[in-house]
Amino acid sequence: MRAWLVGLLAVLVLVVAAALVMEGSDEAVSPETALAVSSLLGEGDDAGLSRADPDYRPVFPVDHGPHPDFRSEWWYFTGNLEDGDGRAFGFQFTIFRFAMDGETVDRSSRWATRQAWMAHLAVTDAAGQRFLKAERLARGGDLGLAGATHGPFRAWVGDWEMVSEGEAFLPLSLSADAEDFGLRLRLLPGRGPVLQGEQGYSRKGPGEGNASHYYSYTRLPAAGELQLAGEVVSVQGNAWLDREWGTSALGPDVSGWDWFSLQFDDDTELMYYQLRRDDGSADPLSSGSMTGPVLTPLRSSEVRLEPTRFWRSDSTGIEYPVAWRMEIPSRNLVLDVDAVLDQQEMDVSVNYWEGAVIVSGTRDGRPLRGRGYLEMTGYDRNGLSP
Amino acid sequence: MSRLVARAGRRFFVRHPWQLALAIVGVALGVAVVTGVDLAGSAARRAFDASREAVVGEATHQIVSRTGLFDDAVFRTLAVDAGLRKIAPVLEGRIATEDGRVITLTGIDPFSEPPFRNYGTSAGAGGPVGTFLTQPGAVLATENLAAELGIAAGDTLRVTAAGEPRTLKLVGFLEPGPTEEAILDDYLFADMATAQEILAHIGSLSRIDLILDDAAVDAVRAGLSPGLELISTGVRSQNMEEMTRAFRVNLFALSLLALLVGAFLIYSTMSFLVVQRRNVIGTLRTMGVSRRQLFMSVIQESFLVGIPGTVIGLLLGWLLGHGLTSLVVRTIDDLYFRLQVTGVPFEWSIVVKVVLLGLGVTVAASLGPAREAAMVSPRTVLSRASLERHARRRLPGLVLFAAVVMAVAAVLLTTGSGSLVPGFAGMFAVIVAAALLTPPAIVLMMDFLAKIIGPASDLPLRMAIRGVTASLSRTGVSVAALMVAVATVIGVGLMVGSFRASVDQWLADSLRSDVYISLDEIWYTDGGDGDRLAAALAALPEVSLVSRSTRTRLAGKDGEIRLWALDSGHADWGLSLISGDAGEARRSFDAGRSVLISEPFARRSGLSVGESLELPTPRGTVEFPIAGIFRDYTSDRGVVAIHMNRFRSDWEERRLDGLGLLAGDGVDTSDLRRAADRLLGDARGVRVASNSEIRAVSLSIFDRTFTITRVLQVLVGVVAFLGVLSALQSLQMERVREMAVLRALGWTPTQIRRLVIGQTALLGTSAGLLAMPLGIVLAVILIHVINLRAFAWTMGFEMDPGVLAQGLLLAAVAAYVGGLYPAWRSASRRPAADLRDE
Repeated sequence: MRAWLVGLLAVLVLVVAAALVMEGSDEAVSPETALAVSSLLGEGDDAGLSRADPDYRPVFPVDHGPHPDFRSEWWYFTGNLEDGDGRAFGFQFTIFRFAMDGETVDRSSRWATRQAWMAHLAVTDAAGQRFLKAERLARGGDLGLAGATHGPFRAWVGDWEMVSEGEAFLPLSLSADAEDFGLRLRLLPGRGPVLQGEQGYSRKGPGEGNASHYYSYTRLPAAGELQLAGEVVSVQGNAWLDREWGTSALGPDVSGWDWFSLQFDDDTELMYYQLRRDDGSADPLSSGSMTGPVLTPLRSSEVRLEPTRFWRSDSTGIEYPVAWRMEIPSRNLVLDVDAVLDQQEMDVSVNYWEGAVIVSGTRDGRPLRGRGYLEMTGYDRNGLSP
Repeated sequence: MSRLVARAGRRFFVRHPWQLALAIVGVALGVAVVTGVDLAGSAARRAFDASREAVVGEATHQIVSRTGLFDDAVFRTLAVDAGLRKIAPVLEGRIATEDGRVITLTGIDPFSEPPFRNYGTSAGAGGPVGTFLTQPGAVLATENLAAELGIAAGDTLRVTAAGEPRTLKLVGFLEPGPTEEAILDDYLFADMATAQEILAHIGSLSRIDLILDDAAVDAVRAGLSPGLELISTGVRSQNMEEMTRAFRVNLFALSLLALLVGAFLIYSTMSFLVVQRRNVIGTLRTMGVSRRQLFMSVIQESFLVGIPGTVIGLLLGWLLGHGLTSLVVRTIDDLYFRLQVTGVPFEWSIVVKVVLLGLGVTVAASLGPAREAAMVSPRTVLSRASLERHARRRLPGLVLFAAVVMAVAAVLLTTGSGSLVPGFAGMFAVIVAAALLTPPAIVLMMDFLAKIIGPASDLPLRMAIRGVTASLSRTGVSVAALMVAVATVIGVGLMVGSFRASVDQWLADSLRSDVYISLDEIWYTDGGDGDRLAAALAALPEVSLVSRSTRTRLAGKDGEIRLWALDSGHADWGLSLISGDAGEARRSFDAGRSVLISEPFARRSGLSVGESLELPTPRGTVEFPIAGIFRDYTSDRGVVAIHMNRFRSDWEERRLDGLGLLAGDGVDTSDLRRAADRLLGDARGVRVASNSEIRAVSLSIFDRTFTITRVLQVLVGVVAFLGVLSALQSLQMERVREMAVLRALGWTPTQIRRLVIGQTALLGTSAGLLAMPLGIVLAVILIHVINLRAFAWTMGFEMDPGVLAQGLLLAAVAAYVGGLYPAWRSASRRPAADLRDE
């Protein structure tokens, strides 16, 4: 799903990795630098890297662990939380892995690696109108500065980590501390794994293998605490995990995507990503799924998606649609998705908008409410006009 | 009315353009020297900052091992377990190209670098920059270095590292800013994995850079294993700063000395301008011009000299700065550390400082003459004799004042030990006192001279002698200026000479072996073994004894400590003790029970024989008794000497970097050297030098170090010469009518010439003679106060009559040449025309 982001991220991480360039990890790479290096990288050499196999079915717990032969991979946790007084918070904690090269060379240093690791951490305090974000980068390699294992599961970048409590994948704890905020959460078994796409094979672009392996945990009861500039808040709520790995590229006319992960209060969930073409229309490969008594796929032809409100970032000048109307007539579903806080832009090594949303609407004419996360990328490419 | 006064002033300068020009040149030279020295100092400082930047970056702290490399697992512990975010590993080592160029290979972790160093990069045609991490042997270099090595992006470079041939590949370029560029031209950058593999230091780091806030420091320090140390980069750069501070202070003092001489010139010029125009001033006074107006007009005139002088001085100083920069940098290179300078910076702060100094000194120097112009009454001003009487009457006052200044100087020089500023202030006070004493001294000298030659002698000569005293109001300041300048030349010359003699003596004492072999990094990276080489050399029939030494640096509590481990065998150890019992010291030193410290170390640490010194060893801090203090000029930071055996057991370091060979009985040094050369073959990283070669090289480095001193000495001399020229020109021109009278009385042009030249030569010789005692005093102050406080080096005072003679000659020649033109002019004038003016 986030293949385009992956491509961009891979390029940018290569910039960071290969250069002594960046102006400080909390700042965005200037467009010139990114552009210059991405052009040098050309199409990106996929030689030696594995590609997604349509016949492959994810195997657990092995597939919770890393897949170093694929270009990119991530463990993507998001969630909506509340404290005892009903104050709402959102969080994102993601660990990305990128292979910089397909060929494994036998080297003697424990620093040697072809893997770059990146972690993003964000907490949204809707009531306090605060959006806190941080990024960590580290190299792979046997020294263990960053990496992932499957038995038992652990993924880490520096001291930010996601780790299973026992042999089983769940319960699992997340812990990460940035300079002025952090989180410590315990996630319990809920719904999942849910195999997205065609039994976990999710097409991202034209041609076979231009796809990722993709599964989700769509609801994981979460409890723990958030640290916000010295304040410690006990919270609980629901998290969502997306796992993807692959070596893929978006179609030539696709500029970015809008990705929704929504958890309704009738205990069902909806995932939908719209691969957005340059003209703003949805690519036919856009897709999603709905949980319920059975998992049902969502096709792009079933979904009508319209932005209803825009917000322009002060720091990057990029305009993002922060509210949407989603209509799925085949399911009698009408939803209004609205950001709990407009300013949830991740302007770190790469720019994207990743934020907590609140959902209201109707299913079969009955009111439906929920919470979720929305991710939007590619808006810096072609300014979308309202 | 004041317009009239101003016009009278301007007319004077129009009619006497040379007077104005010389005054301006005097100011310009003074200003130029200060500007040049300041610019050079500032350029060196920038280079220093840039090299510090390249080494330290933004890091607030560094983790280093007391013994060199350390285990890279420490980095993982800090980054992952302790969760430190701003932390970057560094591994450095030396590699050599095929044609012997030695380059530092720096291994870094690009993921950790962003908060620390900020060099731009660009990929070469050889492939994407991502290969920097994934491709073994991938390196980045500046374009300059790549050009120097003759490689383009994508090319391979064959080098030797850790004794093995290796192939590197240039995958891209560093694009540092202009200040870092020159520094980085000596570095290749590689990913940490590549660096560990190339340098054969798998699992090792040289240091870890950190950015820590105060709260985190103690926690990090507490978590370190015993061999590791957390040091603040502030302390580290302070060490580097301190190293060159004394040198820079000395440089600045020399430039101030130049300005002081310049100030004397300006004073003499300005006061002469007043004296010469007493007629005009008297006339103006009778016309009702007030004292205030006259005072102000002289001050205004000083700007006529000061402004163009300062502007020209700035331009000259800018040029001079370029020349001096290379001298300063070479000295720092020779004495302290590698320094590269890209250019001389233009700094407003220097310009402002110099403009204020140039104008300020000019105006200050004209205050006295201005006051004089304003003070005298209209009637007496017209009488020349009254002026001279006045000048003579003031002589006892001058002596008294000089005595007071001298007393202040004595206090400044004897108290406040250790501090340079009172030392310099005292030295300047001595100069001022000597200048004040100059006029009375000249009167005494001339009276004495007149008595000796008696009334029977040559009339022009007697008139010249009388003329010197009679024109004291004008000559006094010029002679004082010349005297100060010549004394400076003598003082600095004697100091450098004494220093050189001491160093030469010390070299003779300490170089006890006949042939020396030094082993550098390359020799060890090529797989050399110091002990095996020492054993092989000892087995040569030509060799009677092999001494071994190693120099290393320890991270002490209060900064870096240089440790010198040596084993002289049963031979004379070549250390001249200035404190401690030589026999006892040698016994306990050889037994490894004690250490010796060098004189600068003793002075800096305040330690003396019998006390103990704490040194960090891999097993923790160990106390060593001090058995003696030895003379040493190798480092102004100080050195601690320890016996090789004790060093090896406490520090577990096997490396040797120096071997000394003593020839057997009847073996010629050249035979010994040939034998050593044969044994070493064409091994790289080894240098063989004979005793005399080392001595010659050391002294040539010494001479290079003092080149800048000599350059400044010459400049001071030039300033003095021009000043004398200017003063004598004016003096003689004023006496044009007097000469016309003499011509009318029947004097021949030859007699006139003899009179004029005789007078200027007398002035010059008096200045030269008076400069001798002051020069000697200055040398003593420079040796026993300034250099001792700055470098903590003691040296013997070496009286070199040649230097004194040189000073006297300089003064006499300056005065003689200064008198040539006035003599020629006075003699060739038509007396009738000059008398008609009367």
